[in-house]
Amino acid sequence: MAGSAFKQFIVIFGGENIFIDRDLYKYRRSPTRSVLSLDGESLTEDRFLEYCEMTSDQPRTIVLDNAQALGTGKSASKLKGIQEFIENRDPNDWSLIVVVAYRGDRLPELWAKAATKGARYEREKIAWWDSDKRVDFVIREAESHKVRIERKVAEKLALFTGVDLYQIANEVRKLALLVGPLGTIKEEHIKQVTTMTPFATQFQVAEAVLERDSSCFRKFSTLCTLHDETTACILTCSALMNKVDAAVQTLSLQGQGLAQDSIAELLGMKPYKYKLWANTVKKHNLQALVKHMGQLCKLNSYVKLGNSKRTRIELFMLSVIQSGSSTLCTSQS
Amino acid sequence: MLADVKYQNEAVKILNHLVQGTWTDPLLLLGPPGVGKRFSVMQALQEMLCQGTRDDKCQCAPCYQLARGLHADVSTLSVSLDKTGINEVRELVKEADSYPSDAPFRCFIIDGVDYLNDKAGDALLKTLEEPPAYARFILLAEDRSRVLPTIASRCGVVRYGLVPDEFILSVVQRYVPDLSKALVYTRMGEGSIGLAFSYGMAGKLTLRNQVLKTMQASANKDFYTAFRLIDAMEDDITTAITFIQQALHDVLIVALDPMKLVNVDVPQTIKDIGEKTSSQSWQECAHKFNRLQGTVRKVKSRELVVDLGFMAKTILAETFV
Repeated sequence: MAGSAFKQFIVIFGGENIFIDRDLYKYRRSPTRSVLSLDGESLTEDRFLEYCEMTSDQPRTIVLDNAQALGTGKSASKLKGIQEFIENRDPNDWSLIVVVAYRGDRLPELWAKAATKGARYEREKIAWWDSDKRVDFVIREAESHKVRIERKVAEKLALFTGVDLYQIANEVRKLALLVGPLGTIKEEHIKQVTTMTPFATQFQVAEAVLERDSSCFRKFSTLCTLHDETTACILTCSALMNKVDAAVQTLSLQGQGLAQDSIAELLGMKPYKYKLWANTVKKHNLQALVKHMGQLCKLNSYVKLGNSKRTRIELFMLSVIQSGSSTLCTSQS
Repeated sequence: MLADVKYQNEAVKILNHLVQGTWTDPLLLLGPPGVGKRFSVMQALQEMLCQGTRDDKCQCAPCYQLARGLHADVSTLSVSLDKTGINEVRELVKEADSYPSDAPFRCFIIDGVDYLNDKAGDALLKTLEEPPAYARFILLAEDRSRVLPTIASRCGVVRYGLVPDEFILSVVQRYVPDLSKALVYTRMGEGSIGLAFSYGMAGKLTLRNQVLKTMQASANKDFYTAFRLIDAMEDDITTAITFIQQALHDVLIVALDPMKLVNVDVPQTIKDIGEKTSSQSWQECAHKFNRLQGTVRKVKSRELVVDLGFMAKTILAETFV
């Protein structure tokens, strides 16, 4: 949390809005000071300085949000006035604290200078791939609500709710209400109340497979975590069957020499969608697809009864990706 | 009465023992659908319980109740792919312990015992092994391989045969006067009066025509049309696969004996389809569909049913691609 209140300037910056908002919330609710909240998006430099130089018989706090937007647009200036204000402030003047929230990863010189006369807090954005930090966040959130959560369960929650910390915080709040004070959040609670946000649907997995895009494995993996393994495998198998079926139909129509628009109409697709689809289908030939249909038939019964069904699905995806081509497409999106 | 049961002499003989009280153990009646298993059981029960004129027009209380499924001492449990539950069997076992209210015994008919899941089957075993003296169990099944061996071993097994086409035709013609259509329905029934009758009543010739179109499209490598037609048949895909098998049978024998065709009303269409590819390809296709049908027959639970439409598409595509 932001540090001592007795600083002339408190500069908070970074890309993780939830932390910045929480800091600002704290300063706005100061019980001993008169607080003025400003927004950089609707403020000029002069106006800001006017507010700073106002006098009052009570100690004051000015909270400036969206400092990155101050002085942009029509009234753009180099903020020289603010620079002078920062430089000329009496070091013994505790009557005004200026809290600045700069929503950006790199702090400009002006506000960095201000931070030297007070405090500087970085609220770094948690990268989408950094699940450990998100899990830590879940655990901290749970602690703040006075409930317990095991790391394993926290991992699951973080995975289910995606990368938005606001959403994660809300889900933890809901779960805390569900289990009550000093309770423990368990996996079944997550299944009961959590709004799951999967990274991919089974259709996206199937599309990626036909695209020969190796990201299909990652997508399939998230699907397996979201559902139980059998359900994920059955869903994916059905989606693959649909896509391969549609691809065979498309190649059959193309083989009849029909115009693109007619094929799109017959398949019930918009022309632009068909263009994308045709590009995908182009990567396969009829014989190979029919062979995949045969494999899918076996897979279809296997996923309902057999063991290691997930591996079977992955092997099938690999066989589609590799059939007739030695290169893999990769996608990091 | 049992005398009304035609072409099932062996079954009638054993049911007569049941009527006379010389057979009290559980019975397992095995045979394809629609060959008269349930009908013969009802006739035997009528013969045992009737207090009136002992003919099919009798309106005595037991006959009236039996005909409407209202008899207090006759309980029927129908099991199918959608309903293989253990709860119903437990209820039935509990009921078996109570005394009959009106008749000299309580009769329990379980239709589709081959669909009972393992747990439900186990719940029934003890009662089947030592049934109360006043209880009669009659189990009906279509496929011997699906019946739990422990159940089959506790019953006297009665096999039902196929019914001759002449008899089926005479029955179907009462409802479908057009002879050629009636003949097609009869042959579609494949010895099952129940199936032939239900095909006739439901006008399944439309589905048959769709099946023939699908085969034509597949043979022309027009998989778009073929797959769309199969998708359209999704609701009745099991019957559609049976019709595909029958059409394949026709394609293979049309040159040898056109009079033996199932789809006897459209010999030219069958001939045209047959000429699209070699006889060997058709044989392979028929073989694959037979295997598919075999797999379907083994399935005892709806959850395990595979996507038959997709499998049919695959077989057709593999044959003609």
